[in-house]
Parts: sequence; structure tokens; C-alpha cells
Amino acid sequence: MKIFFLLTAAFLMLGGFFSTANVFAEDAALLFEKLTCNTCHGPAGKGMVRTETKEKYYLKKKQMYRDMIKEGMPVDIVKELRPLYKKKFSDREEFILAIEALIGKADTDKYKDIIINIGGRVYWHKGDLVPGFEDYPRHAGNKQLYLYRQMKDILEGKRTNGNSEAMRGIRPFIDNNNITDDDFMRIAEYLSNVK
Amino acid sequence: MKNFFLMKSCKTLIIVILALFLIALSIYAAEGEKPMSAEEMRKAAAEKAAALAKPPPGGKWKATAEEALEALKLEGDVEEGEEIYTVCAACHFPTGWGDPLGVFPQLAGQHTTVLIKQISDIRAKNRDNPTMYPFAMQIEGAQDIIDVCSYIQTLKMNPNPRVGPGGPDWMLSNLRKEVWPISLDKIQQKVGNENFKKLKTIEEKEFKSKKEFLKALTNTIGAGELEKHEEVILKNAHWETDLDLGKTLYEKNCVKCHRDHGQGNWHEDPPVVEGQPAPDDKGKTEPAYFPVIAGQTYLYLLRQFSWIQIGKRRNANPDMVKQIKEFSFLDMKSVTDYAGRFEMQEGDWAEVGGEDEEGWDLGEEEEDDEDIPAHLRD
Repeated sequence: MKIFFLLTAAFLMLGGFFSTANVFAEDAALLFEKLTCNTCHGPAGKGMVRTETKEKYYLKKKQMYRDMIKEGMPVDIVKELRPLYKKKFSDREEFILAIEALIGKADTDKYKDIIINIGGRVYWHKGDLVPGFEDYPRHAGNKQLYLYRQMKDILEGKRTNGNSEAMRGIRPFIDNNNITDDDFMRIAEYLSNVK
Repeated sequence: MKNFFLMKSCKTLIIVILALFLIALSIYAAEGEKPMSAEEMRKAAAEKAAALAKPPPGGKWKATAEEALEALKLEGDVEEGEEIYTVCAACHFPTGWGDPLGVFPQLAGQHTTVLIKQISDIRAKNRDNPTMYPFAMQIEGAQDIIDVCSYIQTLKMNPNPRVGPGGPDWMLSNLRKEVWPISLDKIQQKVGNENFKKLKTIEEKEFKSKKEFLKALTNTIGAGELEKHEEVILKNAHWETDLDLGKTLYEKNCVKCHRDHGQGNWHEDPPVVEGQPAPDDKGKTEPAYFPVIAGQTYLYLLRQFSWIQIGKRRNANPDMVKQIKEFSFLDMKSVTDYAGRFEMQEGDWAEVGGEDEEGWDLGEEEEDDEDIPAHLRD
């Protein structure tokens, strides 16, 4: 019986330790987002670089069909594309296949550039720098103490160069979350461990 | 023989010139491929946006950037705007209500003309906002601007915005340093470290009467120390407002532009030029840029008000800058507290455009497909 209680206690203590450790690890990551740090330094502090390509193919207006005719496409073929009205595609190849299913491969090859030009939009490619953030630093993998000192110096107004003014602009928002030095240190530790 | 040598040296010369040309070309090409540095990219983006801003004809408070003028004429796409808004939502929240401290203002319910002007002003560096600047630079042009503004127009306003104290209010705060230069930190040197540590225990606690606040101070640092430092502590904790004073000031100074219940204005009659006949297109209006202040977060209004007074917010209406020049801190707190409590009403906004109701008429060529024989058509 005694052994049973001892084992149970040990198990609970271990479980408690691991769950607490996880909560702390998650906390720093959550805090990084809660304080909106990720909006300028990227997810997990990896910098503002597009992590995936974003494109959209979407014949959302009837005017787009009229524009195809203006661009020289025959009315008959344009009419056959009506089932695509208001259907969204996030992949160019899928969109082309849907067009092929309606007007055949030969006409698709002939007119796809016009259709894509009218109904498609490529927002960005994977790996593109996010405009406006070209000179914002990535923090993932940087030294913990360095990150901590920069956070403190910028928010306290000791470091004033670069884009520090942008960070100080949200200082009341950060302060309002009752952030302590330990929190800054934990965020720094979390960022330094991101691979 | 002489000719032979002459020809040979000519050939050598041509080869040398060609080689030099190729080397120069390759250096030029290599330079062309060299990627721009981050600083160069940022500078180029800033120059591009600034180039769109024309010299302001009627004061910088009016929309002057070319892209803003273009956006005002375009029709917005709400769906596209929703996608663009995901960038804004990180700070202004998906609801568009901003945060209670007013660091990020409420966008929901703001007039589209005002939003267009503010976005393009930030892009053109006509309004200094280093925090928002890189986000504003992600917008690709006039169509994106009107799209995101059209989406914001669909957001409902915060039904319970953070209003001012509406009367006596005493608080030792460091969260409001940016709003007005009084704070707990500011009195540290004057009261000494020991007292400061004790005062930290009541930081951000709000007291609704001076008596209550003095009692808390006595309990914190003792009557003797309070007597010595009372003046400086009270000065740095005085957040009281007077709604009656706010009403008087609002009615005297603000109604003309922000209108009777803070609904602002998004359109106005075209200016009548003296000595010239009134324009024929009577009833046609021009865009106006008077923001909605009803329901806006109190601390945001107060911060912006003080920034307009000291000239930090450069794109403000010059008439307002003159008008509020002599406003005291109490005047500002009171008028913003009063104005933020207004509620918007039906008809205060511009009407939102309807759905795409066009038919499937694909132009004249389509008539060829009709069953009506050609000779029977008009």
C-alpha cells in the first residue's frame, strides 16, 4: 500500500513538472503573439518572409466576362465559362483544369492568358520579403541575453535608432499586459530556441 | 607587307575593343542583377509612396495623395477587403474595435473617406505613425485601399467602448505616459525611492474622489510624507473630467465639423467661389474628412487631441489646430470624454453600394445567339 502511494505521488509530481514546463514554453510563444510581436518580427520571430505563395483565381463579376470578350475571346466560349462564376481557386493549375473541363484543352491553351489576367491575382510568392518590413530583424535563434537587452533598451528609450520608434509606439499596449522582466526573459529564451 | 601588318593591327584593335565592350557589358549586367539592400528597398518604397502625394492645395488635412483621390472614385470589393484586413486585424482586432487603451483605435464605424485619407497619409508620410507605416506599405494601391475600407464599413461598432471617467478621477498611472506627460515614474525623483516603491503598490488603481485617493496615499506613505509631496503627487494623478465643461466646449468648437453627436462628415457641398455663378450640378457633393468621434476609445481621442495641439499629428485640420491652441488639460479631457459618449445613428454614414446585380448580357455579339431571326431584329 505504502509503495502504491509513493509511486502515485512520484507520478503526480513528474506529471506536474512536465505539464508546468510545457505551459511555460507555450506561454512565451503565446505571449509573443499576444503582444503582437509576431506582426513585425514574423511567426516565432522568424522574420517577415512569406511562408507560402498566395494566389487567387476568381471570376467574381459578370463584368469580367464582358472584359474577356473585349480582349477578343469569342462569346460562345465565354458563355461556356459561366459555371466558374463566383468559384474561387487558390491554385493556378486547378483553375486551368476547371477551364479545360468546360472549353477543352485547345481553347484553354489559346485563351488561358486572357482569363487568368482578368480573374487571377498573385499576391505574393513563398520566400518574398513582406513589403514595409525589409529592415526589420529576425530573432529566431539569436542569443537570449542580447534579445532581452534589446527589448528592454528599446522600450525604455535607451536604444532609439532603426525602427525602435515603431516598437515604442505600442509600449502602453505591452505595459497594459503587466509584463515583467521575467516575461521578457522568457520570450527571449523562447526565441533563442526557435530553429 | 606594310598593308598586311596594318590589317593585322586593325583586327587586333577591333578584338580588343570588342573584348572591352563585352567586359563592360558583363559588369553592367552583373550590377543589374545585384539585389537591392533592405535599406534601398525601404527607401525606394517610401519614395514611391511619397511621390504619390501632391503638394496640398487646401492644407494637408485634406486628401491630397493621388492614390487617395483615385480610391475615392473607385468601387470597393468587400471580399477582397476582408483578405487585406487580416493584416490590420493583428492590431485593430478582427472586430475593428481597437484596444481599450486606445493604442490601436477603433476603425469600425469610421467614414470611408476618413479611412482612405489616413491610410494614404501614413503611406505618404503625411501622418507620422512609425508603428503602422510598414503595414500601410503592404497595401498595393488605390483599389486595395478602397477594398479594405469597404470591408471596414461592414464592421459593427463596439457597443461598449471605453469612455472617460465622467467626473472625479485620480490614478497613479504609467500606462498613460503617451497620452499626457504625467505619470507615476515622473515623480520618482521628487518623492524619493522609498516612497516611490510604496506608491507602486497603488499603481493603476482608480479613485473616484480626491478624499478616497488622499486616504489611500496616507495609508501608503504616511501623513507626514504625503504633506511634503502632496502637490506633485496630485498633479501627476489628476485624470478628472467635467462633462458639463465638455458639453460647452463641444457645442462651441466642434459641432460645425464633427456635428451634433460626433458623427463627423463624409461629404460637403462644393465651395462657392465669390463672383462666380453657383454650379449647375446642385446637390452634387465633394468628399469631406471629418472623422466619427462618437464611440471612439476615450484615451485614443485624448492622445490624438493633444498631438494635434502640439503639432505632432501633422495632417490635422488647420482650423482645429488654431481653435484648440489655448485648451487646458482639463478642457481636453472633458471635451473628449463628452464626445466619446455619443452614439452613431442611422443615416450618419454614406450608403453602402449593393451587390453586383448586372445581368448576363455579354454585349451586342451575344444577340447573334438569340433565337430571333436577324431580319426580325431592330
